[in-house]
Amino acid sequence: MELDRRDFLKFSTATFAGLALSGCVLKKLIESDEAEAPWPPGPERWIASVCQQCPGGCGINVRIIDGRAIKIDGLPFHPINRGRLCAVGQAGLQVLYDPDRIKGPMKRIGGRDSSKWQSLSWDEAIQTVAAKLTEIRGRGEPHTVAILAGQPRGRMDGLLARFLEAYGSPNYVRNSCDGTAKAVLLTQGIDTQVGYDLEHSNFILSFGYSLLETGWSPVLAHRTYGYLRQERPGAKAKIIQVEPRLSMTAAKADQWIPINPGTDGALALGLTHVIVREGLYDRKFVEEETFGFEDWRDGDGTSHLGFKSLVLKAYRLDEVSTITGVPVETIIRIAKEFAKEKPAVAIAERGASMHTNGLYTRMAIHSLNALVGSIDVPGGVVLPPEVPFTSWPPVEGDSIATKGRSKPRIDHAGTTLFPVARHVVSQVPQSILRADPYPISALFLYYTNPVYSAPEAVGFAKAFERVPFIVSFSPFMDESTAQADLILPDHTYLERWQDDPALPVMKSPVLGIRQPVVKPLYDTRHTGDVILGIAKALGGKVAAAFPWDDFEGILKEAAKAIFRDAGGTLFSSPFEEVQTKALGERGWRLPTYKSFDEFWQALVERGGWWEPAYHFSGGHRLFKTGSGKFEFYSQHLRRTLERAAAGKPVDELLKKLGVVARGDMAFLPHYEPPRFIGEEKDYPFHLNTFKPAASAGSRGASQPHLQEISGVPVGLKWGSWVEVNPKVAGKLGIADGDWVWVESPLGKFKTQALLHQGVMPNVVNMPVGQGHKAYGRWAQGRGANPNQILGEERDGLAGFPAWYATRVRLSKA
Amino acid sequence: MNKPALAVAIILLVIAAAVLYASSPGAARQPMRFSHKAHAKEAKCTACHPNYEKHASAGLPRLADCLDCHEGTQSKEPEDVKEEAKLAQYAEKKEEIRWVRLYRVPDHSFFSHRRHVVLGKLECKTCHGEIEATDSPPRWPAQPIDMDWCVSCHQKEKVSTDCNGCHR
Amino acid sequence: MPRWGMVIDLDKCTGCQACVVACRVENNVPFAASEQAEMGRAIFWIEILSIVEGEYPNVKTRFIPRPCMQCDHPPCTAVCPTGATYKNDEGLVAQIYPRCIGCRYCTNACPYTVKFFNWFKPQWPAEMRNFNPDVAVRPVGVVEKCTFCHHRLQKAKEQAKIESRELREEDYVPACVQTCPTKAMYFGDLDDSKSAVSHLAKSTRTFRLLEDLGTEPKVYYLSEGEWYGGRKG
Repeated sequence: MELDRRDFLKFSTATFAGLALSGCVLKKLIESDEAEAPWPPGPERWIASVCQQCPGGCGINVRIIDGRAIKIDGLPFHPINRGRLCAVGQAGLQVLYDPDRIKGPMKRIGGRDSSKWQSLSWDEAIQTVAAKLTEIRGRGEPHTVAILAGQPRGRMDGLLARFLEAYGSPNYVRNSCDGTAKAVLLTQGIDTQVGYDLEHSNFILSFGYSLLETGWSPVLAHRTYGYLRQERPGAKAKIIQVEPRLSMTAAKADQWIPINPGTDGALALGLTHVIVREGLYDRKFVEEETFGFEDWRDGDGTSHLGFKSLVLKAYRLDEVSTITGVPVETIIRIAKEFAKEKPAVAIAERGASMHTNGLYTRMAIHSLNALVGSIDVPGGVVLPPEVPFTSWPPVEGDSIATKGRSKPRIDHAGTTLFPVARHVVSQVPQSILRADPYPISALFLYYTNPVYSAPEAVGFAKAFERVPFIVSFSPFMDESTAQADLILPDHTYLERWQDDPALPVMKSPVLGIRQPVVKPLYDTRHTGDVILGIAKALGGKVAAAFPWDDFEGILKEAAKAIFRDAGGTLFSSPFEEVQTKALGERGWRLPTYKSFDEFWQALVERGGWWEPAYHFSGGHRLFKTGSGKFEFYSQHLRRTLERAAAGKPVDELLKKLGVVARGDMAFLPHYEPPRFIGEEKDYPFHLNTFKPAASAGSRGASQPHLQEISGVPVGLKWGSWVEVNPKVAGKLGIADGDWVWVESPLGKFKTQALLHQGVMPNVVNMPVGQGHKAYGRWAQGRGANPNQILGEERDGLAGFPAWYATRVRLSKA
Repeated sequence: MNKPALAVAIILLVIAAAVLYASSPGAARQPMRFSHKAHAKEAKCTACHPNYEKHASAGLPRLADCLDCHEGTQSKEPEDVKEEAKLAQYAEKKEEIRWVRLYRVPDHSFFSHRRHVVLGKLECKTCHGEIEATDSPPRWPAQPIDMDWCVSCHQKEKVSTDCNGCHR
Repeated sequence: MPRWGMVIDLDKCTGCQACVVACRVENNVPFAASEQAEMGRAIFWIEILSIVEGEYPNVKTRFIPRPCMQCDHPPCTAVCPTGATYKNDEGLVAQIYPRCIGCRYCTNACPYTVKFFNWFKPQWPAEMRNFNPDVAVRPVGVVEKCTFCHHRLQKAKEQAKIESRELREEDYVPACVQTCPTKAMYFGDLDDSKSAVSHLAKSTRTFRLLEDLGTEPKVYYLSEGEWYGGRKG
């Protein structure tokens, strides 16, 4: 074959081109993935901590390799979750390693309209805050500084409150899911959430308590559920779920009772009517441990209506059935089962509380427990003692602080506006906008995003415009932080020290210890340390109230009392637990650690402490009322209202607060018709918002694993939807997946319709958590936020925000 | 043979050669002339590769481990002293020595040093050659660590060759 | 040789999806982002299938977690041209990524749709590249599926051998079974008469999916039960 020059050149060019190309491309293809993991990993460790994707307080065990967190699993010996963990907890790494985290302190450049930020050092940041606070104090206005807190766990709660106490402001306003606490306050005299000994119950009647999705903790609820269904020998407990939507809990319950929104109180009273009329109530308990059941006379001879008379007269079943939409036969059957299948317990949460009649509804539901003697008995309502922390010395404020603290709160909690409440977050914007009782000059946001998570109508965005200095501690650029002037980013929960005393949902006090499982990724700082830094910079008596160097030091000191005085045990193997419990029930305790340092090290390593022994008192230990009994007729409520009315007739105050009942009825559990925003004829549907199980409230949208599973089991992934009853949808010409307008008297938005049989004909359901305008690449601009169109309504006495009070209409888009 | 066919044939040949070239790790140059021979006298293998008896990966020394012994100058020859001075430089910059990896098991395969050394009772030199006799780091692995190498030994020693036993 | 199987109690399963997320984190499963997810390309080694039955107000929602069935007669291995998927002696249906050529015959053959093809190169932001080193990160163009977390078995076997003992039931637990909050999932050796799964697999409540196809799946389900009026004993 002949090869001429031209051909030779062609061949060689092709050859070299091929060589070059193939060398580069193939090397890249074959080696590209290897370049990502150049060295084999080092040995692994497991570090115990506490999850914080929700307030449940489950213990976690985090796998660390080469200083990086690889997997989060449940902590095996933690009494709440026992090694199990829910979907959201498992996704926690995506909070720590969120690519859109704020990497250090930042201050805004330009006005609130600009989104330009400049980094600054922590020293500068703390000095800026201290200077501003000193200026405000200098003007004699320390009370105009407020802290809004969403999830202040453990000592953080006390620290923030203490800061304002020493500084001179009454305005520590925190989120409090108060429904249970207030019902217990009115009837039992203690302002605390209570627990339920569900694993010994035989009948669980739940009013809008989405146990499995958002119970505290959901893992504990699941464990209990699994135990009740298939593991407990003998009897399988019966679960009845009363709520307007076929939630996960309703789907797994024995029966779902659809109910018209806001009428849970009527149903509870209808059940009471049956139980009382048929004489099925626990006579011994009612006679000996309750007050106000029968009609009674007080000291000066005035006769008072008793609960029994009220119920028999006012809550006949045909009326209750009309109000609630629940058939009469169902009411009778459930009432009889509730009374007979002992121990039975009636539980409730958000669904029943967040209406304009929330307080009385919860009172009515809680009274069911007293009716059947289910208080502080196995299977009933329980209340564990608190974790015995070392108490802090009282704050010795200077005169400026004392004066400032004496001013009224900006949320008007405990006044004629909300006589029963201690915190009313949703009132804050109105107070700021009207400068009532005074304007706010500085606002701190801790673990809260009210611009997003409160209804737009409540007005946080507008109110922020009136506050000249806003500081956010959020590690993420959420909607509220985007309006701040200064950002002092906190660590995420996997990077910080914290005590996590669990909410009292179990019989036992449980203290989890949250410790950093990795070194902080960025230049963030524990908000506790920042508060201490600011206090120190303020000097004087303010600084003197904080004799600690850092938050870890606060924790250690808090644990000293547990080491010294408490019984209980650190999280330990089942054998050790049983042993400690048996001894504890007989009053013994085993001193196991020779020194506090040894105790502290073991505490941190094991993940926490708890007290397994519990003493059932049959009720009276939990009654701190004037009568020493469970009060159907709440003397506490009467005293509170009389004090708030300040000499004027209570009935007048009730009218102002929007309460329909008058006289004695207002102090008894009764049904208040709920108020709704929008007329039924124009807006035929109740808008029922819910939190899906696989979402961390409003924070889940930034975690892509959660976005991808959000649709299952009902709905669409990576977005929002509104659930509509298929027959109703058919009449409106809406098919599955169609885009629809959801409109309330306050506005409208577009989202996709999902036809589902588990929807009442007069209700539409929508998940919360999407529709973010900020908060990272996965959350932003996705789906719709129902808060956009919710109206502002509240329970007049306790200030519960009425999330479910808005009516809407649907139309095809 | 016609010209287009020849052209294609040559190009294919060249690509094949390039693939073979690209798939070998290539000659490695380590950042320091570490002498296993000198160190094998002073320390056991676990001093610098602490995990080979306990974990899947053998481990490498951190700069701090080197500095434990090399606080002052340990070498005697002037050439070695110059090389050792680099350690001080790393220490000052607080930088770890970025050794180039020679023996690569891809991440889709599970290889455990512990299993092979403790259970299999293999010696280091079986895969890594007579490393303790080398005065400077080798430029190529003692043998290519490919599946053939592993499987041939597994077959000889009558150990499992189930794909799922190593692939993950 | 053990024969690894799983039993899932549908009475206890609430469809909470803890298993789904635990599996994804454990096995470096990428998230698809919305466009790909809408095309049905989201990869779920274990998935919750939910079925709504009935008409309002008598509605029931059922949840079925669906991992790979690890069939004893797998349709997927029969069609694989390269032997990238095959069933080993312990009954695990393996998926060997370096051998997979991405032809997707197995994906089509599987009646349970548990095989997932990597249509796109997984996009991981740099901050999120903290992969589990025990599991390969798959490139584009290969098929993947639930492996019963056999990487945990590899480590457990080694640990048992080092400690000169037999493998115990609690040594090897897949991530989904480990995290299930209701303890609805059980895992173990179906051929070990002392194991929980071997008992439960023979329960009167047991059924398997698509049994009539002859695939002999090794994932058993316990059907939901009725309430017996609180009778004791």
